[in-house]
Amino acid sequence: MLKCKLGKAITWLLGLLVLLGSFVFFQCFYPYHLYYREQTQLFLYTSEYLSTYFQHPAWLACITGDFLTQFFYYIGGGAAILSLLMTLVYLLSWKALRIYLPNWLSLILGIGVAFWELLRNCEQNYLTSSTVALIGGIGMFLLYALAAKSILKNRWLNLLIVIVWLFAGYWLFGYGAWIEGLLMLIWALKQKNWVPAIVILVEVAVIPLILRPAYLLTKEQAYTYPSRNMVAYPRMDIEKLLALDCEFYFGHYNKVVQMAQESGMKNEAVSYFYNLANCMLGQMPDKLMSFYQPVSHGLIFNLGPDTPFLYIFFSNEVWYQVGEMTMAEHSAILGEIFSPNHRSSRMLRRLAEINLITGDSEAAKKYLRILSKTQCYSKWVADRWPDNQSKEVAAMYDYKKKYAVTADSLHGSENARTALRSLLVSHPDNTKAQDYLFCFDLLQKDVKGFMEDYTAFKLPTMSGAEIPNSLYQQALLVYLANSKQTDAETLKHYRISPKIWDDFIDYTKKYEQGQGDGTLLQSSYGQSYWFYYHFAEFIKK
Amino acid sequence: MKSVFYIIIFCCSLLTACSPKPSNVRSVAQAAPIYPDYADVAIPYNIAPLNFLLRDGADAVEVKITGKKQTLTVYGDDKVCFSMDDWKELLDAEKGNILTVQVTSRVNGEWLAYKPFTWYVAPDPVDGYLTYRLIEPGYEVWNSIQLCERNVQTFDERVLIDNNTVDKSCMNCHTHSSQRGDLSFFHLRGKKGGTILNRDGKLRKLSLKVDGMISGCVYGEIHPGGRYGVFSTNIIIPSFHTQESKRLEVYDTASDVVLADFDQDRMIVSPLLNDSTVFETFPVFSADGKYVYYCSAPRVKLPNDIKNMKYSICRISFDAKKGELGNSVDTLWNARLTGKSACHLKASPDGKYLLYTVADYGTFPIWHHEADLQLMDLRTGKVDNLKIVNSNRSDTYHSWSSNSRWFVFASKRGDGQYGKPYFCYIDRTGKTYKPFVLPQKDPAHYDLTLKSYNIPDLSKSPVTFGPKDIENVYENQNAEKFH
Repeated sequence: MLKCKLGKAITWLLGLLVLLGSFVFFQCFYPYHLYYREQTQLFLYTSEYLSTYFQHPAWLACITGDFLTQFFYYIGGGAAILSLLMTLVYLLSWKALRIYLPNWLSLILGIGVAFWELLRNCEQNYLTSSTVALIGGIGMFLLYALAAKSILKNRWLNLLIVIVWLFAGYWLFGYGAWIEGLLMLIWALKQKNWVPAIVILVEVAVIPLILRPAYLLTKEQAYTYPSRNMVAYPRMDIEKLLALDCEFYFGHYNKVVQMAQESGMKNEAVSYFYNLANCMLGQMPDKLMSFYQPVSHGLIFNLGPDTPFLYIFFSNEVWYQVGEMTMAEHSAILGEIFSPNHRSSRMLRRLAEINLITGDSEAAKKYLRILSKTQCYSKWVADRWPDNQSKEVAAMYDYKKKYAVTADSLHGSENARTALRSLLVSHPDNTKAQDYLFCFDLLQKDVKGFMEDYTAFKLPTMSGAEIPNSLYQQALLVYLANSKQTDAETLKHYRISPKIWDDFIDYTKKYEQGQGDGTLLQSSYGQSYWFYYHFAEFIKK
Repeated sequence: MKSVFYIIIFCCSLLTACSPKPSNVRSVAQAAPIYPDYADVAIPYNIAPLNFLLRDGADAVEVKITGKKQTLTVYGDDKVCFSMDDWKELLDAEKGNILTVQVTSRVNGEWLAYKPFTWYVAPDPVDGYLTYRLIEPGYEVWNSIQLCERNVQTFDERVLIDNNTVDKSCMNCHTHSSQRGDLSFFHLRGKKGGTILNRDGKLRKLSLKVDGMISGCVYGEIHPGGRYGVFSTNIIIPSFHTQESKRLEVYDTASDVVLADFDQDRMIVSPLLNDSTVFETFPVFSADGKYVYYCSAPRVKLPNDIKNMKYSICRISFDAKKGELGNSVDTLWNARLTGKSACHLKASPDGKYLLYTVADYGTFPIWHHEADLQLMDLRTGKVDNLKIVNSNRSDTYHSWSSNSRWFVFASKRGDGQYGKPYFCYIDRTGKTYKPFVLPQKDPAHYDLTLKSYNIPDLSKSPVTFGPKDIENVYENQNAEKFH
């Protein structure tokens, strides 16, 4: 009696451990992944949308998983839901395994299954429906076991139930039917019911193949749907990227700069958010050289067939912020269509915003109508509905409308410079586009292009007393020195400050002394454009 | 049996009793705010029910349709969905008649009777099957693509091929010849791709590229006899407009027209259609197969002179017995004189008309708001601007019904992003009527879908293949080389 009570207590204690452990892990170490998962899906409360779940196996797992994922939007929602699901995985696994194994071993294996599922949830595009499918598969077996013990005494009836139950398992939970089938197989073998055992083996192997053409799946997908991976591990580097994206989205620009600096990561996406946040803070040229800059790839992503989805997902932000709505829309549509199920709430919101800014209210309404059918965004939609916008929202979009491009030209998707120049041809006072264009030129070491752009777009807009940013002064000096135009009149024309000029003389002297060795310059000028210009190496990937 | 009948009657009575009925109705002068816009359209008697919804915040609606012989009344919340049987019975009885539709809706507790509108039930049917490509409008990039076939008389839709099962390869739109389900083609790209020819129930995978051609085959059509195909070969460049409203421009830096002989696996090239100083594209056959119509523009410097890139409509004779093209080219519609650019030609099956798209410039009008359909009477050369048909968004990619009384086209009217198939009636006198969008079971479908309907194409009979057949051809058949 005491032993039994102790066993129960241990079971529930372990369950509590799984619950709390999962919650702490997801909430404290992995929250941005969960928010991202919500942002890359969309759950609509419409009959037509719900009916699409029947186009694939595992409709119950998918509908439940997607329904739950929408609550990842709320702080703590994702961690709470996933920790409950992990606990359910543990409890059901333990219950199923206890039929065959000693209690202590079932507990350990139950914990193991829950841990495995937790790890699988660390993959960025993992679907909650996969976890539900696993739970569903085990649950189906437990129901079968319950029935087999009590009512399925007739072996033909048992065989019929095995066939129907496995089919139902696949229909409702997709790959969960594998787990269900495995447990049922052990059951049949234990009972020495050889015919059902063979039927289970055949059915598990054949059902996906038979149904595959109807579901339009590949062979691999047919056996694993809706799961996308069997193993995964925590990716804290991706968590950091998702954190930058999330904090930027909420306008915490100082936090983004700080997080980027503390990340210790050198990659294009970190630089992208670092630069973008600095641009929003009006300090992009001041901070540009104090951070890792992978040529211009940390400013604007070149999207191609091999671009990782995360970069596609992030890529609209820069275009949206500088006011280039054609490219922002293009990037957002790509983000939308490459989302795990081609439905991303974030991208739809961005598409709605873009069309509100460009004045295409019919296109905006298309996206707003879809979002109005969601749990979390109906209020957001109400604030933005054309002709019925809140004052703050209208003011925000009016500000962006000011920078609409009026001059038309054509450019390829990879030609960011033309796009930025077009923005400035229409509105030379678009300071964000200015900074992006100038920094783009400078990071490409295109000082000639920089000079053209600076002369065309910066000089005419400068107020009487304005002194150019020191980065731009340094770059101007590179161009002027290369073209031998460093006379006093020219320096005055370009408003080069005496301090920068003196530094330039000093830098040049030390550079010549070092004969191309940058060690001497590193400490004093390591964060100058001159140093970047001379020593940054372009490595072709 | 009798008791079952009474139970059904009882249940129906209960359901009817649940539907609120109009009372204290106030008549308003405005048109009913219905979506899709089905007001005052002409419809074929064999079309699926024109279900619609109301955009006035209604929570109850009554729709009364009155014809010469029959009346139909339907109730709903904010959606109006007709019973298939009642609908069919009504349209069958009212062929050639005008139906009056009275919409009365309850908004904020008050019943409003809107100005009635009409449906003209044309006496000519539309071909029963429509194929289209469903794709997200991702400009030059794709992820998920399906070729589908819809039975327009019901709401049944079937997938012909999903690119998920063919290595996510790109697929171009499916094109019938002579509105036949057993004579059609589409290009399937990718490692194991080719042009899939569906002829007399047999599928072939063809490699329609030989030395000297600037690219594989792109736009085209199969000869009514089934032996030949005419195709353009194009070097296609996508570019972005900096002005938001224009989005994407797609243009050719080179293009020619070639013929394929499917019986002898050979390509037929004419110097008249392979002039390097001229862009030739969008070839189609005339209804009798004796001519090839195509678009032609003098080469310009691209992209700078894109706005001067204007295509005329030309014609060259074709002898199907000999497999030879003629030696002179006629210009039917001159871009220099009109100042516009033509594309997407389609000859009506009765040989009377040529339907095409006209834009300000260029060759790819789907993002051109000004792109409109035009109809040329091939007997007189007279051009109809189809004002009642066109919208302020792109209207293009059209195909004819086999009786030449209906055509379908893809229009981006409304949201401007997502193409939808619209049907237009053209009566025996050549008069066109306001078009209507392909009806859907759920009238909110177009509000909620994120797929664009590309190149709708009509057919008298269903296509003779399915996804498994195409997957099989893709995986197991080698592409036949042409010479």
